[in-house]
Amino acid sequence: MDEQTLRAGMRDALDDEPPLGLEPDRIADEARRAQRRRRATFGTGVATLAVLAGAATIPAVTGPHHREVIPAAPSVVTDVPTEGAVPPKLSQDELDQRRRMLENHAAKAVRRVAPKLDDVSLEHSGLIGIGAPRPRMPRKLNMSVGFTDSTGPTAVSVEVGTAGTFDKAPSESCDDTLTCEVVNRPDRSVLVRDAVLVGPRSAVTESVSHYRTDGTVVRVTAFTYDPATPSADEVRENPALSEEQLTGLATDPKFTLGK
Amino acid sequence: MFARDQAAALRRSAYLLCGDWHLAEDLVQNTFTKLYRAWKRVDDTTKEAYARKALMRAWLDERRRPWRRVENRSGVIPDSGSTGSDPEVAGQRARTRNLVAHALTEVPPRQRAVLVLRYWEDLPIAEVAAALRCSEGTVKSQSSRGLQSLREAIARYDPDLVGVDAEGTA
Repeated sequence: MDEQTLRAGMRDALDDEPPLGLEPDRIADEARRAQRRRRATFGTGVATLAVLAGAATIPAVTGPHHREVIPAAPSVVTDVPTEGAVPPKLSQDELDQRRRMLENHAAKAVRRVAPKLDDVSLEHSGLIGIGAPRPRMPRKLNMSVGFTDSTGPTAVSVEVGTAGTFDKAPSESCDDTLTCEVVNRPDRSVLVRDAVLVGPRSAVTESVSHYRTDGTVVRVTAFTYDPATPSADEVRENPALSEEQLTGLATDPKFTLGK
Repeated sequence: MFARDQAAALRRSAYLLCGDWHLAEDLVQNTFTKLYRAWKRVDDTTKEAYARKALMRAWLDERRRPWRRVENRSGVIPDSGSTGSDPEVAGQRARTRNLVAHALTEVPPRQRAVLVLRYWEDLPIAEVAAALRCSEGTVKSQSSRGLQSLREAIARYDPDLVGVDAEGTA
């Protein structure tokens, strides 16, 4: 096939072009809504930091005794808060025990942040190790908790990793995302909230990742579809869990493989 | 306004990439969403290039999704109604149309992207390289491999057509 034939073939391939079904105005509205959501969340994060900074400063200024002033953390961090952290040393028995505890806890935690959901249960879990087996091997437990809300069945994914399992630093997490914000917390841990377009019919995943100072990273993801039976025809307008609920899960201290 | 003006052209390119008009619309929709977010940062003179780059990224990302749509690789060319006044010419045209559309879906994604940008959008090699974030040398090699893959795919459907083309008479 030469270039001319290819060009002609491409022209012919477009002969049966159907009428355009795209509505540019609707797309702009959708993008505007997503951007508003992102700004609203960012505003909440900044307001929280401001309140916390204020709470740390006021006693120092007005209190009768001198207290150490805790400086407000910067609003955006670029470094991993867990640099130098190592995975916990776990025997097989300890690991099995931690896994069972987390599997039991996952559905309870989802019910706690979203009490109105039905049929909340652990659908599956898988523990992976990274690299050669060794006492301090980086490990990650992937769990999926299924449930049904007023729209239908869907699930939330909860990934609990030790140091060394998430290869992206918080500052690198925003590549190729629809919306993304990085917020650091007074305890020096970092939250990353992002939304990613995942293809057909504007399906979206929204995630909150909590990078903790001991190296643990907890990533919780909600979907605008049912990840168990994805269908391009059954896409929700919004994920079943809000950012606040996802944050509640990601920062749950029980989600850790450490001791 | 930009979206209205460019929607049809982008959808045609998207269709040549994916071979599915519905998915092509989704890809263009994703492209416009990304463009909306970046609108203030994009220079007026580079909006089209940015949109093209975003479409290619959307397409290549779509290929990596775990639940992306499965392409029709049955090897069967579906019948197509003839639209021309001469039944023989119309029939041949419909056959070629189906052949190229189906053969393109069998070319690896990046090679397919290079073929569409080079031979449908008629972009110079430097702009193809910019759109795909690779070197000009890579564009040349992908283009050559893409044409070879396309020939092999067409040969599976219709060896005669490849034979005629090889003699330069198509």
